[in-house]
Amino acid sequence: MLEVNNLKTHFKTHDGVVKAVDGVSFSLEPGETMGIVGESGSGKSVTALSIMQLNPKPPAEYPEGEIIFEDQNLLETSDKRLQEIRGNDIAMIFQDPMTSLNPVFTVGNQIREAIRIHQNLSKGEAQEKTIQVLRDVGIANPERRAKEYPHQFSGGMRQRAMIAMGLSCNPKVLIADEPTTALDVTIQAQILELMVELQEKYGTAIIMITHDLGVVSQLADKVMVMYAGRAVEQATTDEVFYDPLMPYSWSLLRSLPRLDTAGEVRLLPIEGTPPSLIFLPEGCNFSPRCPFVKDECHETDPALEEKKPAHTAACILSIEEIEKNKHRVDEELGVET
Amino acid sequence: MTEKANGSPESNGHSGEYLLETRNLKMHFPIKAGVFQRTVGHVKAVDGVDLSVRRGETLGLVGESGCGKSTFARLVLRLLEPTEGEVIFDGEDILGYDRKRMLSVRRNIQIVFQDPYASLNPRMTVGNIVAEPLKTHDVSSGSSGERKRRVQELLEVVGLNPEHYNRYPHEFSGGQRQRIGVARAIALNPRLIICDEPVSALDVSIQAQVINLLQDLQKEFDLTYVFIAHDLSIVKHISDRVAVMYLGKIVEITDRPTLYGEPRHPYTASLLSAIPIPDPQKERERERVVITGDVPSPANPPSGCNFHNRCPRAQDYCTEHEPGLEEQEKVDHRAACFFPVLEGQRIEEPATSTPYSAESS
Repeated sequence: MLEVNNLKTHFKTHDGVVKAVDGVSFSLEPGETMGIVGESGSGKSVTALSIMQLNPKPPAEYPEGEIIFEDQNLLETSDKRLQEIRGNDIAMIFQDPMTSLNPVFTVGNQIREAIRIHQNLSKGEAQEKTIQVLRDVGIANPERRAKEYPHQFSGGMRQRAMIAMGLSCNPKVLIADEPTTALDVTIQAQILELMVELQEKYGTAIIMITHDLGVVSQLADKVMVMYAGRAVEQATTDEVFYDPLMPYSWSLLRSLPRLDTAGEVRLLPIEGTPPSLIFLPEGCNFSPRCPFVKDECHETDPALEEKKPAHTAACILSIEEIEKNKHRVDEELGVET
Repeated sequence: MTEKANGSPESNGHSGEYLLETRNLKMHFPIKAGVFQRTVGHVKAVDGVDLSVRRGETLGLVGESGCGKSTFARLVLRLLEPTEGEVIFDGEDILGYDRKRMLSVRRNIQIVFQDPYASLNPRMTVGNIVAEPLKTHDVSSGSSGERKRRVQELLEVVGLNPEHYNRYPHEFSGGQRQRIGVARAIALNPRLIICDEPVSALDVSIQAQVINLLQDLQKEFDLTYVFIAHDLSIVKHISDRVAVMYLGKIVEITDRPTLYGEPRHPYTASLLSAIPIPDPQKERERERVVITGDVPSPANPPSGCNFHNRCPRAQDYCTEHEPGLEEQEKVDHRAACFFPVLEGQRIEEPATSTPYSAESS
């Protein structure tokens, strides 16, 4: 349904070209959930904004690649057609529910606006629909709540309202960009449960962007790990979590205190910081921080290759070498395997 | 760790075992309104907290945003004057201390703040930032050469290049800045460091660096930590004992294995169940209890037990009576609940028994 091929999103700045997204490919089926994980600055959000065509041009440029949604390339579609797709077929939920709602309009007003732009409904019908979607996302007393302003909503309720707006036109794809990062865990659990429920009801495909590996393991069918603008590993969720074949994904999992094992093992610190997207390191982008690094890594830039059926990773090490290295570092950390 | 746990801790009124104690600590911020700025109510940010921190341990303090964790940290340092209660550091109530005596206490209690971008003065060099506590407390006295050597030594201890003492904070990344904050905190060889969400502003791959550093420093300098965080996984990783806070009150406190293995308070249990685990298989098999609603406003907390309006086990009794922090079967395990989750029980199973030790004990 949605297919992204070799997408490149570059930003021209005074200091040079920022390669925010540099060759990302994936496809998404109806009803499927894909997780995109990575640190801040790894290109997750820019990927999402590229699909929505919301990156300001200039400075954004798309030197290569295509985004195919239902047989049309979104990179070549007219603005008018994009308007119809955005919000209607592909909707997006942003991280911060406070800044993504307009403080001077009522919540109901904002949801109704989205509905009226995309659906040929009268004012009264749109109002009914607004109340109904608010009820769908579990807001008590939707008639009264629709007349309230965003500041009268709590953080969790604002995010519910954003989801209501996103789903009001029954989109085929919902892009959720860190939808729970600003929320407390008990509220996060509520929102994630709601998203699963609504996905089952409407069959929406979801792209879940997050830095929280726990959220991904809870929701996603498949995962794309991003580092410095590139996809460095792509596979099913189980494959990525149980048998990661890119040292970065593996290190991330080992650097995380987890509820099930916390305190028993030492955490693996990933030394250094993510590279600048203007001056990328020689060879592999992760080589300056990689615990498995060898000399060739500083020379060869690894391409994303199929290491196992339906499991791609960008690393020049063979599976055997990776396994040997994992074992070595695990012994140092005291992890039992 | 746990061999210290023998005997009833609360019967021990001496300073020996505890480095820091708070008794019935309260911070009620007035809400003012109207032309005359009359006080119309109070935000009960911290509402009667009794906590004891043992020498050399790490006490984790967890809770959702707005539960009073950070206010508690500021009260202990007397950056805020509490409405009521006692803060006992090393056997002495420090609330009555004047500025001069307080200065000597602050030498022993330091804090690492959450936001490494806001807690370092952008116009001071890193060397000056780390040297400031040394100047204020007049240690490594006199010669600036000696002070510079000490600063460089500190930078090296926290894993920064000592040659960078002349740089400004903006030249460092988030993780490095937090290291600078840690260097400043350990500059005076304090005994207690309060870490207020020290890693929550950092990227996941950087968090582990800072957590490992804090653990190494604790071993090396024999430090006591109060580790405040909202992330229960990080707290589990670093703490010996953990206290859970809700709406200004401690609702459960015990050692780490007990809190994570056999939580008694329904709030603790549902918090634990809400956290996603990075393991897809375990996630599929897990039964999640999702508690409904939001945290109520601390200006107008619910009657009786604060948690009753969100609690899956709440009975009528809970709306009328306020539970105390009662001892559970295990020594050193306290929970504030009339109907605690007992072993093998599900959280949402409605409790039918009589209220736990409310009248009987």
